[in-house]
Amino acid sequence: MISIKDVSHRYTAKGREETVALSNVNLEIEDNEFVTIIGPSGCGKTTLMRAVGGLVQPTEGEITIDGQRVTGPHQQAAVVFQNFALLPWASILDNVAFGLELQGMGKADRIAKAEQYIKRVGLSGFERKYPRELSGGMQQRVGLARALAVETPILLMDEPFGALDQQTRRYMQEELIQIWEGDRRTVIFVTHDMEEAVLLGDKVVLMSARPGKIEEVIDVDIARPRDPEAVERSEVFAEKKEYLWRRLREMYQVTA
Amino acid sequence: MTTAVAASRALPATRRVELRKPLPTWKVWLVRAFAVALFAIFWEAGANLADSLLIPTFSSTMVALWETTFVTGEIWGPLAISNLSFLLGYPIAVIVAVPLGLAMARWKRFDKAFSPIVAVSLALPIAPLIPVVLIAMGLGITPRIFIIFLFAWVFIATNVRAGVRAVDKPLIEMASSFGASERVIWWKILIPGATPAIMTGLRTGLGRAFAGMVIVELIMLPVGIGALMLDYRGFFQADLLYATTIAVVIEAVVLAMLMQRLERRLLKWK
Amino acid sequence: MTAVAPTRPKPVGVIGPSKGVSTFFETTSSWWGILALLLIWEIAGQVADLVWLPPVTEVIATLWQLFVDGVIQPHLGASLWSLFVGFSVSLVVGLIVGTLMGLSTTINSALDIFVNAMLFTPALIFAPILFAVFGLSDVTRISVVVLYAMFIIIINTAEGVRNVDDPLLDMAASFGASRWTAVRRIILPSAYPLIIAGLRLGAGRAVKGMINGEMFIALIGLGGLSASYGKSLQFPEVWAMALFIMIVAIIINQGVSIIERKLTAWYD
Ligand SMILES: Nc1ncnc2c1ncn2[C@@H]1O[C@H](COP(=O)(O)OP(=O)(O)O)[C@@H](O)[C@H]1O
Ligand SMILES: [Mg+2]
Repeated sequence: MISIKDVSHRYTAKGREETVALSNVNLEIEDNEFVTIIGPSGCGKTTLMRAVGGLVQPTEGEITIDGQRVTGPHQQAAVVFQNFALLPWASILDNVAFGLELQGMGKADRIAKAEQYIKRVGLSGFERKYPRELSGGMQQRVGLARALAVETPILLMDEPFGALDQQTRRYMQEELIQIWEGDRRTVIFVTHDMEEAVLLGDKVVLMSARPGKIEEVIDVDIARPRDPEAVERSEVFAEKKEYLWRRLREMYQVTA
Repeated sequence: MTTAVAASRALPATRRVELRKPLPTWKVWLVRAFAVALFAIFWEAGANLADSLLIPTFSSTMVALWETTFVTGEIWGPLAISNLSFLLGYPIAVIVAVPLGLAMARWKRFDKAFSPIVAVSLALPIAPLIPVVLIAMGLGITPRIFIIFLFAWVFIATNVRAGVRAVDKPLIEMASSFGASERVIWWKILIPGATPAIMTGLRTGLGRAFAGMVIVELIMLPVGIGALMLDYRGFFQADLLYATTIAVVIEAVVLAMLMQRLERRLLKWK
Repeated sequence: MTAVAPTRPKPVGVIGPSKGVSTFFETTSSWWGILALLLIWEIAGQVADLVWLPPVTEVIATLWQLFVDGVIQPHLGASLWSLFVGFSVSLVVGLIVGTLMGLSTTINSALDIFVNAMLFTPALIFAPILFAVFGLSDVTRISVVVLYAMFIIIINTAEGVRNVDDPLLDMAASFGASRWTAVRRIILPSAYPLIIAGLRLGAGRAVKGMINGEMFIALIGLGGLSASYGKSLQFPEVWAMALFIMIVAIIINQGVSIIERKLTAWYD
């Protein structure tokens, strides 16, 4: 279980006034839960996710994973980055095996495992290619495979499909649902896309603009396994989306 | 509900590598001062150990620098002689090379006509040809001005040309579609767009011109600061030799800083 | 769609055309132009009959003769040797110091004024001191080469190291990379193109340092030979040496550019 207790974070950059990115955030995320976080840009979604991953040390409060405090980047969570963060000089296979290599896994083992996950994300046959030879969607599959391969209990995804075009994004969402329903890890998924938030999440965490606060946690009671097309035609989906839109619009009216 | 009494253990964590974490300004200067002090101490100690006529201590060098600038003023005459050729040669190079670079960028024919000269000038070593210039132009200041010009012009011209060439084509098309005249295109689009590259050219040219000044005087025509240094070496006045060298380094740094200032001012919009 | 795919970064501290033209061959839009220049030179030399402007045919004949008489070869050898040693030293020291400066803001603050001052200063200014201390030994000439070449390598290496894509460092940390692993697997590979660019620029400067240093000492090497002809006003030889030095420089630059392209082929 991930538990976020009274977490606040202020960025202090030299010569600029400090930014409050998170203020008094409290959130509990159960094991095997898929949580999406949505909110206006700049509301602290990335900061919150990075804090869980240990990439940001919150100025106040505490984050624990199964009772253990997060004090820095740790091996309980693997991150899928918005801009993929692939090594341009390494092949797809080496990119996917990167995390395994850092874990100290032997060469034969990590190649076998990397190949297994490459297959899982539908990239078989591309092992020897380099990232620049792949489309954006394919590059993000590499990022996903790399994160899945280390088999951490938690996956952190920061707008992983944000840089993809509409069709590719849609396709990746379907694949992610499938993969996730296969092995149900705990996922924190940041997005700015309302449909994505509802389609993927068991819970949608709605954050509001500065100072970053959690406004509401919305349960998405749509059964698993989910068939994306059916979900999108369902009434619950339309209703949740509608609700999110209303809440977000209120926030914009306040800030704009 | 009970509050967790047991202090939670920390997850094992790695540390992220931070490369751009800025040091506070006072710390930067402290470190710099420390480094300079260390340098001075090592120099002083090394010179004392070596105990050679040719290696003055740091302190005696500083004293010599002080004396040659403020007490005897020995450095100023030669420095003025050297800089006069530099202060004439560099502007001439700018006046010739900037328009040339602009013209080469915009007009194919100009480019064709001058590109062989540019190519050869980029490759031709100037130092070995200094005697040719000296005999052709005599021993006055003229050959030194010309050599400094030769050192600088081609780098200015090529940078200006490359800069104008790199200006976004659609921008030019956009202006033409609004009926902009050639003149307007030059002043509103090409020159502002090429300013960064032009500045690079001017900065590079400045460095080259200054190097040209030093090189002529040291290897072929001992006048000015070069002659002074060769004299000091000849008479084993090591402290003054080192002091003069440092003075030239200081001048080079000051010139570079002035250029940077100018560049910042002109490129404010960036 | 491109991802992290970085665009090739621009080298820093560039002395010379920053974009577009980088080698003689890329600049030369037409060989006819070069031929025309040679022709003008020939005619001017024949007609004007100036002592300092021998016709190009005479210059080439002289160069040939210098080879036949075996005058140039030992000097060429000496030059290339000091170039090789000087460049190797610059390379090793430059890469190490540059990497440290890139990695640590403290080391950077300690050294940046020295490095920048040395980058702006015409390195030949140190020749009188070097000559006073090391005399006629190879060390003098090699040191001049090092002073010409090393600092641009340092600057570019440091900039390359600093240039690393931030998300990649996040990524490395999140997968548990130690500091050393991050340097080896992330930072140095991403600095690589700038490091190579620094080496190319350093090689160009090393050649200049080699010639200028030798001319200052006026005894050994291509520059030394050239200086002695200059001092005795043997102009066909002066031109022949200039031509030959140009050819050597072009060959070295061209070679380095080819190596650079080979080494960074994966990059774009
Ligand atoms: N490294 C940083 N330094 C200073 N301010 C930052 C930094 N990262 C984010 N911020 C600021 O913190 C706020 C929250 O940012 P972020 O968590 O990235 O929001 P989101 O991901 O929701 O768009 C924003 O106002 C942003 O400008
Ligand atoms: Mg974000």
